[in-house]
Amino acid sequence: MECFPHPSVKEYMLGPGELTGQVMDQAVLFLLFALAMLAGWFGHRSLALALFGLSFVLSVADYFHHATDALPLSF
Amino acid sequence: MLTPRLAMTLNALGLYAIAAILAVAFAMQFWLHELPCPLCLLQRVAFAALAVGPILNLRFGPRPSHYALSLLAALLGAGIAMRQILLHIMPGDPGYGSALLGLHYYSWAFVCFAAALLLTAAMLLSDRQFKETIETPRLGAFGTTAVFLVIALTLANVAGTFVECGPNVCPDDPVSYRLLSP
Repeated sequence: MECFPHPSVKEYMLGPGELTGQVMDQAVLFLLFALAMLAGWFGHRSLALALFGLSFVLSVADYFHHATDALPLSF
Repeated sequence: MLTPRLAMTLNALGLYAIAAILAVAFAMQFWLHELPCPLCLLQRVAFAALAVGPILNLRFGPRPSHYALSLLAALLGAGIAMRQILLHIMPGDPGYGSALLGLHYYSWAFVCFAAALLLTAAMLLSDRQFKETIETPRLGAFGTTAVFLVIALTLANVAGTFVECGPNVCPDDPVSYRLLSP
């Protein structure tokens, strides 16, 4: 099973070799949100808000990276 | 009308709910040997983001700005979940991953994010929690455990995602843990 339902979509996908040089995305996002939680918990409210803002913007960017592939509709 | 104390208790309960969702997602991943795709991981990221507001509420007392963070995170998560639902909306499409009680995880995620939006908006309806300022909120074991549970599960997701995807961007259709593959 795949994230994308039709085999024809594979032509839009990047292979692992083509991805070389790009950094891990979701792991960094988890880490940034964890840091925002820790900053807030240890009393650094402004830092927590800044980290949340940065993480949120990066999350939206990562979402667009993974969501703009062609949607395979076949009528 | 919510007192600050009651609002903080409800925020701690929200953190337990987020921790439960992250824990169930993790358990299903290892139990059923299903690797989460990038959109699935992004929904987990949004659940982690959803926890920042309640943690700030527990640490600094309830503030509208903290609830705003939760609303933003829930909107992001609902958008991502809806996108994945639309990817699999064609008749005959088996969807991605297993179904839980008749719905795929991303459908459940959308329901949870919609519920988070509704509940956060409901919390914002009560002004009393903001008028009675708590300078240094006292947290019991109930709230502290909730905070550390969510932080631990988020850090576990950092490790899990790194093992699955390695130092690169996660593949659209993951078939194995990159760091564990020969």
